[in-house]
Amino acid sequence: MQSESALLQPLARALKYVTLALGAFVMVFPFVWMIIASLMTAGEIQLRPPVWLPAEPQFRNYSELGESIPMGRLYFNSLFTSALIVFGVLLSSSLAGFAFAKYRFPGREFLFYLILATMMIPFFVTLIPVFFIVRQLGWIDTYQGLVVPGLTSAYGIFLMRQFIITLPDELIDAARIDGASELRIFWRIIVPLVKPALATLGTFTFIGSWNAFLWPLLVINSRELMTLPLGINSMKSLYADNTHLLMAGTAVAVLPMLCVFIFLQRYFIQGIALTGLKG
Amino acid sequence: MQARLSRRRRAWWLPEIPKSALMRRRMLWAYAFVAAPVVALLVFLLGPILFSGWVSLHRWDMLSPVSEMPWRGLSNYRYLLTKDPVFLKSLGNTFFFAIGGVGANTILGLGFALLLNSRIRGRAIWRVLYFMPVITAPLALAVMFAFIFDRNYGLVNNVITAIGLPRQPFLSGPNQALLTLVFIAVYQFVGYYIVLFLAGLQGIPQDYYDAAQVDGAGKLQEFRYITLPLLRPVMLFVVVTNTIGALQVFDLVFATTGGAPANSSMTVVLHMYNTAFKFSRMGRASAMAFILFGIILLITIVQVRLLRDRAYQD
Amino acid sequence: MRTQRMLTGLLLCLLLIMGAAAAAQDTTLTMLTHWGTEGQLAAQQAIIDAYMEANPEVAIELVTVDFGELRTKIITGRTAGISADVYHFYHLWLPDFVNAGVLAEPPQDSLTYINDNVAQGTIDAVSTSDGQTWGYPTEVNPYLLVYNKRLLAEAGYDAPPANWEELKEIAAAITQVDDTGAISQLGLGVMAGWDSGIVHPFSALLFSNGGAYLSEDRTIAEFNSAEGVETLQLYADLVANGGTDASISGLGDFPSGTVGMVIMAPWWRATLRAAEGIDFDTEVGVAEIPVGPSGDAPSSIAYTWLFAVDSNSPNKPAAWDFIHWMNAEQEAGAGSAIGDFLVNALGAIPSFNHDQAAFAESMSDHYVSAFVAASAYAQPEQIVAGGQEIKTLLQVEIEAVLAGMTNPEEALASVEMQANAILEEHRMMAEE
Repeated sequence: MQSESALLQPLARALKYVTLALGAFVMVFPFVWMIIASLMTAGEIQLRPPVWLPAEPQFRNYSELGESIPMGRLYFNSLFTSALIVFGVLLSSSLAGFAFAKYRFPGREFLFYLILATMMIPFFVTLIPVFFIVRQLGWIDTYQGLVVPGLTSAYGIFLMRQFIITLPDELIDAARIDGASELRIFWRIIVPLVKPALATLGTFTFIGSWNAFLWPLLVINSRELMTLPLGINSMKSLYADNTHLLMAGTAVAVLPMLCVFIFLQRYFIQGIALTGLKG
Repeated sequence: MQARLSRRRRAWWLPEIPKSALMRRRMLWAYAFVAAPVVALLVFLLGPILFSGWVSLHRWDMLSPVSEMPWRGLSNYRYLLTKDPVFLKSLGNTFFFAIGGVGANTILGLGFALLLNSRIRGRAIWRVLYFMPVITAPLALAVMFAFIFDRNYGLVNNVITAIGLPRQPFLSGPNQALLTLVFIAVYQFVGYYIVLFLAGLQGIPQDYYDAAQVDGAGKLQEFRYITLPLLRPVMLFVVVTNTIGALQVFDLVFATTGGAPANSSMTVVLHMYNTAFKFSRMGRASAMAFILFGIILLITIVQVRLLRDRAYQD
Repeated sequence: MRTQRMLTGLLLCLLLIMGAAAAAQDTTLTMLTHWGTEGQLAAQQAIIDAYMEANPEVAIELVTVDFGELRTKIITGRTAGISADVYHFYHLWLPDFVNAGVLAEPPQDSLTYINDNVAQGTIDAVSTSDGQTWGYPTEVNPYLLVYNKRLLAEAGYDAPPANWEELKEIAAAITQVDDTGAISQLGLGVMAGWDSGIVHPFSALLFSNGGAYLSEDRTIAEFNSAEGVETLQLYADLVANGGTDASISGLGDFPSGTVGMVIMAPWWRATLRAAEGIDFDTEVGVAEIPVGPSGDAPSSIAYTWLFAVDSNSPNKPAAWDFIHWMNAEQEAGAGSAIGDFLVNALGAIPSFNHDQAAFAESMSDHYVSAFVAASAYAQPEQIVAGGQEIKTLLQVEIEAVLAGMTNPEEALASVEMQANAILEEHRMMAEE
């Protein structure tokens, strides 16, 4: 028994690492290949037999991008709209979650169940009418049109309510006895205590709005307001015959965000893990 | 719940206004806190879904005024379910996509989470590597994989032909396009499910395993009788959210095949987008949305029941 | 009471914010086109700059979208009330746009100018069935068989196919499949995934087989005929004998010299000139569409695009003035700005007689001159309300045949049924 497992254990361990490494290779290599291809010439990509590395890395592929794709603008638009959406969702969700968790008011149950019910509505069901509303408001091709429909989240309200309801009422009562206003209680007591939940919700919302495509595709017309996914979409036709440039453009659109993620991965992943346990 | 109901003196929808001025003030604050999100949800979710239902009973090209939409009754629904070959096909494709994706994500997600939960070096690094596609825009992944799976110049075909295997059409093959899309979707999301399962595994108290070992249980028995039952809540979350998401796939298909070849990879939301915004058939597109919504609701209810019931049995 | 006041206040605040955000508006002319590659953008911008220099009071903003999204953008932009002033669009969409009231009628001066300077067939292509002309026609694009002389010669043929038997034979002879199943060389390339790339070559072959697309009054689909089935059978035969394969992109791979033949339009010249895999002057050949068993002469299909003005534009006179300036000759014999762009940047055939004259030399190369000759007999694409939807349905069924998923009879019967339903639906809508 003892000797058998002593023999098997290193083998099992090795197998574990090999499996993990294989999986990781599959996950990472597409990104690596994108970078390699982005440094090839147009000819090298179509060479037969295929080549695996550029003879000489073509860094000028990246400088060629600058002229036709306003990368800076795309980044600004994506950052600006995502930041607004994250801020709006965090604020509205925590305020409403606080009210639903810690206040008694007529219609509370009804409104809360209403919000729960809207959580079930998939985005595409509301796509056409929301487009129509945004159009009635004159918000097509504006930042408002991109941002405002995303400022509240039923899921966010639900998540924050679940967190805040676990906080002891005594904290709030004590603050009230000290004469704190309701807003102050929210800001000074509730918000600091639900920071982990806010981080989770913020991460989720950010990834969602940063990568959103269908809504911006419908709402945005002008180049000046395009977000990164729209930029990638227009590069697809712009560089249809220039795969090396398409790869360079996609790399520029994707890699900075990946770097940020790698630096902040702990917070990202902790936040994400939380959703599965609380959701 | 029962006790509270019986205590109520008036009907549930009639407001109970608190007596004290202090309580009334607090109530006002609560209304202020919920006002903006509730109004926004009404405007951007509840109103639209009602409007969508209304439009689905009409013919509307979005260019003519809403007040002049011709009434069509249930004919949009009837057309979709009996006459529109593309809708039924896209429905089948969407189911295939969801079943394949959810199955693979659950098995691979749990498998890799188990590996990562064992004694392993560099857990954080592995996790990061597996998580990278999750935060990448589906559109970027679509562009990357359209190139990687290209029939002529794609990396995968370069590799498989180099080792003597036959070249595959992947995204351009009627029998492979959908399967390739499933692969890309799993590639994109498996890291997310690994993280979820891993968090679930780490939440299982070590005592259970210790006790099982005292009883002489093997690894497989531990998995069957401790890990799986205790993971049910996470499993439920993974299966339900993944199914809901997969049934709504759009970005990936739009940016890779666009439904080609010959609708063999057409999905419901892409077909809906085309119907609405390419052919200006808002009524029919809205009906499509409602049918899919009904299906999603039904599947979700069934999944929740199945996975919950079994959790109680154990 | 206080609750009410507070709620009203909150609502007012929300409305104010919304209102303020919606306020700002600009007064420039916007032009929406699909010419989006770098070279095309620069050429269009040069035209705009020249106009703005001559007319400093007008500012023009250029917006381009991919062809695949152009129709959607026009409709959604229009719905949103932020439509462009000037559109350049595919004439197949004209009836839909006119029925929906999207377009403004051109001023009398413009109509007279178009009438005096454009061939009647092309004017008809940008007019509705009531005879109303809606804009300035731009490119006229007939389809022909573009082939790679070197690949044909290597396969043992010194002339392009004249009929379908020869087409099948030559295509099969050019195709080379290595032992890994890789198609290293393909006989006839198709352009799957692109509606025009699939349906226009099909129509060109159908017409060269004596078939028709719609009835002459455009009320009924006629492609489901013996001629139509033969045409799709040609596709099925080509797939069976290896002569074609939809997974190879005719559009992308002909320029790299690995595709023998493609049925294509003239505006491809710039790409072919720059291509590394084929020499434009010595290797690119152009021939008439091979004649089918039921046909007696080569025919073709030609489509057109046009510049038109949105009926909601607040600056219609300015918009028409700009369009006129782009399309009319500023100096006798010099050709128009758009003519220059069409001929020299795209290799397309311009609609206006003065452009055909002024740029005759640029169109005299062996490639474009063949298309100019074909434009004399090519049948204009039949435009009808719902035409785009019918075309897309047909595209999908043709691709299904190419993928071996269905047979010609079933494919055409299925589209015919849906197409007739669409045509009837639009007729009834028009009567309502």
